[in-house]
Amino acid sequence: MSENPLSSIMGRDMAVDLGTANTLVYVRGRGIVLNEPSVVAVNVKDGRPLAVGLEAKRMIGRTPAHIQAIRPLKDGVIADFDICEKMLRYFIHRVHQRRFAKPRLVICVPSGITGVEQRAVQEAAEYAGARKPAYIIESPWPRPSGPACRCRSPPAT
Amino acid sequence: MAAAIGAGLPVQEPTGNMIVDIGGGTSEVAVISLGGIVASQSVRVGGDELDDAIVQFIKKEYSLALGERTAEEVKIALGSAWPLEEELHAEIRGRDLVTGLPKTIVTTTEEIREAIEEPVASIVDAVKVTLDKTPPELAADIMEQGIVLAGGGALLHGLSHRLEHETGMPIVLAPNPLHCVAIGSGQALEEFEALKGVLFSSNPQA
Repeated sequence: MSENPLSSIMGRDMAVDLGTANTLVYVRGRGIVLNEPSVVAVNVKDGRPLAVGLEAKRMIGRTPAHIQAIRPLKDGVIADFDICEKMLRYFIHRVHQRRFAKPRLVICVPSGITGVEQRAVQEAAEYAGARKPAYIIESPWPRPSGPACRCRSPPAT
Repeated sequence: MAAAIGAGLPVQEPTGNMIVDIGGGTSEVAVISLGGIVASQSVRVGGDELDDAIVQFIKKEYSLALGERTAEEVKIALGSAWPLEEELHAEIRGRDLVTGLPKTIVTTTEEIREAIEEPVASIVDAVKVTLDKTPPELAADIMEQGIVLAGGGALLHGLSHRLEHETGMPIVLAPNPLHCVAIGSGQALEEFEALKGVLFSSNPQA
């Protein structure tokens, strides 16, 4: 499938590398169009984001009481769902600029994360304006190790 | 997986490829053959952990409180996993925990290397554990082609020397370590219809 005439209305397909440190967005046919730190600065009074990405990163450790610079991802998984969704929404809109675009989204997650954590990424993407379902690239094989398994095994940790 | 595609590895071929992706929060090691993962290991140690180790070390040695951003800058400038040809030093600024006043100290690459030794060692261990789980045929392939490093952590000075020394395998740095994963997922997107069944799991099972 090359250029679908609907794609300009529906929004182009995008791939997102939602990283702990940086988020990268790849648009089909255009390559990497966005590379920004995964940081959101929010106004705690009304919960609205003030800055996202590089601008927000400069605010880390330099904020007054009413502003919080948050890194919504920790250890490769979502630590703050709402903020993460806001960040994704902002990035999707920056790439698309069309308000009603619902792009098909492929999103990358670390292979060691649990099903619940993966589900959170998927839902964050869908709430942020991705066409359902948001696709997750992950490695489909059973994981014998990882925090989820360790706490179920008898030895104390 | 996406990192391996992005690094340009022949993932669909019946040969072993090993990719080490060191990200901000996690490091992943995987051996890939025929489009699937054969052996893998994921540890929750990444760039953030290194920053944190630097903060703790400076606090302990100099009683100096460092910011997250400063620690990251120190890591990028001075962080290393193997002795450098020319050891560097730099001034860093923070808040003295004893007097409570701002203070500047001079630190060296040796010190920072010592500070981040533990997280670096756990990344190296993850690579070793994965190699241990790799079937012999594939291990031989990897021996020939080398281990590919990707992700921001791959830019840590001397990491390839360290891994080479510890595993005895040749190490290759991916051409665009920071962009590998995005390029890889992008390529999966370009061939969406073909790869749909293989790559994506839209219904994760817990």
